[in-house]
Amino acid sequence: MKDVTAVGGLSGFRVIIGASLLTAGALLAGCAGERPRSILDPVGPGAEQIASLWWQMLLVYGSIFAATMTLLVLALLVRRREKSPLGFRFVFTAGVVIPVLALVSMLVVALKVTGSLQGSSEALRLEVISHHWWFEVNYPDHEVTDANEIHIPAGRQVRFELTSAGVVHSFWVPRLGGKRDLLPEHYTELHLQADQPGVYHGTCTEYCAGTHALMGFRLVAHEAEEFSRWLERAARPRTAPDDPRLKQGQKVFMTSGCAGCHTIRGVARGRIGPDLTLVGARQTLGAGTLENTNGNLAGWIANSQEIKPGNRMPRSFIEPQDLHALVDYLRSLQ
Amino acid sequence: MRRNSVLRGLILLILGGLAFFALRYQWPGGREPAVRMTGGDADQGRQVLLAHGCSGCHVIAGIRRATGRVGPKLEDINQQIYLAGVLTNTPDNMERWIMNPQEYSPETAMPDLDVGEEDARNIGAYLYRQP
Repeated sequence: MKDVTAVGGLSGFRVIIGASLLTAGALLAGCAGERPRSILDPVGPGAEQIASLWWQMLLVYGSIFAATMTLLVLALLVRRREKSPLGFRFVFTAGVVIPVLALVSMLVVALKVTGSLQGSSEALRLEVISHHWWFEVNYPDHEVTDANEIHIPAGRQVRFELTSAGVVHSFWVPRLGGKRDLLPEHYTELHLQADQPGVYHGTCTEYCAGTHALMGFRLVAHEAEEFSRWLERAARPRTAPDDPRLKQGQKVFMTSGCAGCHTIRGVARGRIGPDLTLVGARQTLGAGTLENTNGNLAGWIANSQEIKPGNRMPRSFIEPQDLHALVDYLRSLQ
Repeated sequence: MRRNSVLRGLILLILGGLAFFALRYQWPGGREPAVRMTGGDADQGRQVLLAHGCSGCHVIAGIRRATGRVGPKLEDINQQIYLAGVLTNTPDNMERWIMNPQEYSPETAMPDLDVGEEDARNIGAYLYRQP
């Protein structure tokens, strides 16, 4: 009888182990898809160093953890003896010498990586100002302003000059490099480089209350030539629309209160909300919250409070026909 | 001995729960009525619906991001008699409405989003599917 119990217990144990392995496998399989915010998919020199530091730490600390756990299990299983099998020398080595060596060497490695993340000064200059849950992006040498979307040339270092117009936020593009806080009335600096063209997700990574989780941006890295073309296009003077429907949309923009908060170069100069001069070309709305489509834009204008509660844009009560014209007008701003 | 049977019971419970979940929600035919009714692909409809930005204005069952309160909630649209108050609630009318709302209700705030016929049918299949 006793034997049967032992065997049954063992098989139950095996089933549990098997089930947890299966679950772990299924969960890890979820990591296999696209990972727009993973530091383990680096595309820049800074992120590469951070990723390799992460793997080194996993290896060193993981093996220490495994060794410690093995000893713990052994201690539980081995019968207590008259004389301790491991003497003072073992305790001193495993408890003092190895931790000191491991921690100091990892500290040196980590400090080296931190030091090498500094950039050179001839980099392209870009200013990012964080607001209440969105990012203002300025190209100071080219008089271009955008919001929640940053265009940079690939293969070239960019110097981000960061500051905040409100509380402390933090600027992070996980696939390109480390984080840097955006502080009120103080500039911080971050150097990033994207090795390949692409669209990378960025996010605020310092809790800033409310819908902090919906405060993101997209960083678009172009080939060098394409980037200069983009910059040229973004900086060109704006002309008033000819299409009667777009004209109607512009009129709605000016008369419904939008212009009080938003800038459209050559049209309006509001300073509270994001600059909309290039809104039609952006990939997202509401700082990375929604895909930029006609439907989402209409919903955002009509009632952004249900999509991103607490943001500074009030609900608007404009006539349906005016809403359609306004959406068409804003989507034409590219 | 007792501990052992508790363990077995627990394992049975977990496996049973997983099986129930799989059969109830994941089995291919589990939500068939909506698909048969509309002839659309509900899972495809979910993608299309997100791509067009329906979630900016509507609360939609099964889509966490769809919190918009600009238009009506679509959580149980299958219980409704009329669509937008102007069309009877049938799969064909749903398709027509999604493709061309302003033709049926000229004053509507719902924008014409250039949704194609197949996309509209798939969206309909998703919306009629019970959560």
